[in-house]
Order: sequence, then structure tokens, then C-alpha cells
Amino acid sequence: MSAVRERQLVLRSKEGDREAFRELVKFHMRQVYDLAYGFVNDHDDAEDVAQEVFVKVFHSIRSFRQEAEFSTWLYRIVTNTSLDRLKQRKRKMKRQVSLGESESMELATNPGPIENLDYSVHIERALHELPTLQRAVVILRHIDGLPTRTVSEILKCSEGTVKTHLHRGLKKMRTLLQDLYEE
Amino acid sequence: MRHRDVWNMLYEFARDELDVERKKQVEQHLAGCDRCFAELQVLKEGMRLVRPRRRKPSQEHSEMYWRNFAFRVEQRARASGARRPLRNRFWQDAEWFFLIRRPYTIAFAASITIIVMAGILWYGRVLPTLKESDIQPTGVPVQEVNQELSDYFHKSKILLVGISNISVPEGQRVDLTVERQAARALIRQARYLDQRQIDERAQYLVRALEKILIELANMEDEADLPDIEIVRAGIYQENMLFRIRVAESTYKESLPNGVPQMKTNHQ
Repeated sequence: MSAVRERQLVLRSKEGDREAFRELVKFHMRQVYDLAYGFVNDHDDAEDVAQEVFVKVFHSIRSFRQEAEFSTWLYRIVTNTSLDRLKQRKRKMKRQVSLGESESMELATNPGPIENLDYSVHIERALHELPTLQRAVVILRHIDGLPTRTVSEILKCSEGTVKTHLHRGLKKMRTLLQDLYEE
Repeated sequence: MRHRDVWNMLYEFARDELDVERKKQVEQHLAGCDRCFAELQVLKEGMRLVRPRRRKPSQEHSEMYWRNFAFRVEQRARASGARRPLRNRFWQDAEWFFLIRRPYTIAFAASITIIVMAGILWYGRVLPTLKESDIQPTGVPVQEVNQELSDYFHKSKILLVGISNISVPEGQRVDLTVERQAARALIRQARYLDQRQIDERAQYLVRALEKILIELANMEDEADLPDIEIVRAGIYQENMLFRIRVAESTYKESLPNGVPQMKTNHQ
């Protein structure tokens, strides 16, 4: 989709044109889903987050001032919604542990012996070992291939910070994954 | 070229995304620096291990799933939209009530008018007359906004000076819990100020400062030297301390007694 076309669709959506909004959803839904999955690492949660993101866009598109690209604004919403979901999940897990259901916690965090898992699963698990900002940078910049400037706009930080976190994140991922790769 | 500058460019160098001039600079540095060259090898290894996914998660779902996705979003949006008007249900009921009970409506309107008129008369007597120059277009007194800005810049200055002067021995970590809490409080204050229609220059500075505060607030509770260096780099690059000092003194001078009074955080 060209930038001009996207702009038109955003303008029409702001005026309440449902057809235009539907087209925007169809164009971005897979990217939104993939990005959400990178954070939450679960298909059900990714679907829920992706839908929630578009609902938020639907209700707030009138306040979108078009100073930034629509996709940048959209990805920021995806990132924030995904991080909120992770926080919710963490809180839920803590509650489960405090209620004495340590078994369910163990199942959720320890899916099984390493040799039984696919390599991509290890990447996802290693990603979740990183601090939040580092993880977000590695996903957006390295895995999704977004430009540094766009990532800095999404995460509202400087380009220097993005580069530093990317460098550190990849180094840490290397340490986490190296043993497995050698095997 | 400093090692840190080179390290910040290594990822783009490895992906061959640098322009010719910067690529040449990095190559020259790497030719004479074993440390940075080793760092490049480590990074390349990391990039090789964390390769982008071959199969995207969205490909796990069928075409049918994606064809219906937009429909499901619309359904959910409608459902959440349908819940919203419930909040206005009171007003709908009230409107209906007034429509069918005309005498009550007239009586209600008359009593509201009397209350409002009495309020206006009382308000006019109690409040001192404000000069036109003391009022912003939004109705907020200029002095009050200047007081808040001065207070905000004063607190930010103390925090950033503290961060700039903090000394961390090599390889050790320091506890930044208090600094992070202060940064969060200032971010809230910045967002509050942003809504108060402050002048354009102050708004620009508040937003630039907010970025640094967000970086500080997002740090881990215990930080090592490189973590703190990131924040410091932001402060130096933006020449932030100087700009804050100038802004603080500007807004302080505009106050009647010239001294900012500390206020509590704006939640």
C-alpha cells in the first residue's frame, strides 16, 4: 500500500468510514499479529492483543494527528498493549504462586527438556530473558527489521539508546543460545 | 573515533547499512583496534544465532482466519462501543423524563437558573479582579504556570546534576531506585504541564527532557556504568543542564518574589 493511499484511508477512517478502517486492518493485521507474538510468545494472547490494538485504533483514530507515520503510531500501540499484557500475566502468575499453585507456574515457565524443543522456541525463550526495553529493541529492529529511527519513535527514546540496547541484547542472546547451537 | 561510537555503528556495519563515508571510518578503526574487531565478531555471532524467523507466527493461521479477522475486530469494537453509551444512559433517561413531564422540567430549569445566578453573584464578590495580562487564553493565570515550570525545571536540574555526578566504580552497580522514582514523578508532571498550554519553547524543552527522564525511569533498579553513561550521553548531547538552568532562571525571574515554591507531584 502506498503512503498516499494509507493517508487517504486514515483520513476517511477519522471521518467514520468503516470500509476504510477495514482496509487498514486488513493491510496491517499480519504485521501487528507477528509483532504482538514476538512480545507475548503465545498465539491466543497474540490474537487478543492484535484485536485489542485495532479496537484502540478504532476508538482513538480521531486523535491521531498524522505527525508521525500511521504504522509508527500503530506499532507503538502494539508495543504498549503487549507490554501491558506481559505485566498482567506476571501479576497473574504471582497470584497463582501465592495461592500455592506452584505446579501450574512450573508448567507455564518450563515447557520441557531442551532437546525436545524447536530452535525457534529457544529464541523466543531467550528473548524473554532480556530486560523489557532490550527485548523490544531486538524484536523491532533485528527480527522485524524496522529502521533505527522508527524504533526510536515507537519506543520514544533516542537512536543512540536503540543502538546500545540492540548491541547488548544481541550479545546476551548469543550467550544464552551459544551452548545450544554448539550442540 | 571513540570505541563507543564504533560499537553503536557495528550492527549497521555488519548489515552493510552504513553510508560509504561512515563505513570507511569504521573499517579504518577496526583495522587498528583488536577490541572493537573482537566485539564485531561477537555481535555477528549473536546476529547469526538470532536470525529472523523463517516462518512468521501469522502464517500459523489459515487464510480463512485472516479473512474473518477484520470482521472480528469490528464486532469487538462495536461491543466495546456499545458498552460506552451505557455511561450516558442516565442522561438518556433524564432527557426522556423531562420530555414527558413538562411542568417538572420548567420548575427544574428555573431552579437551576436561580442557583447559577446566585453562584455568579457570589463568585463575582469573592474573587479579586484579575488583570487581563495575568490570564492565559485558557483562563490559567500566567504566574501560576510560570511557578509550575520553574518548579519542574528546578527539580529536573537537581536530578540530572545528581546523575551527572554519580560515581560508579568499574564493574560495580549502584542503586538508582530513588532516582527512578523521581524521574517517574517528573514525567507525570511533564505530562500535566504539556496540557497547560505552556509557551512553545518551554514545551519543546519539557518534551526533550521527558525523553531523558523516560530512559532513566526505564533503567533497572541497579545500574552499572554503561547504563548510566547512556543517560549521561543524552544529557550532554542535548546540552540539557545549560538549557534547564536558563529556563529555570527565566521563569523564576518572572515570579513576583523570584523564588520557586516546591509543589507536590501532579498525579
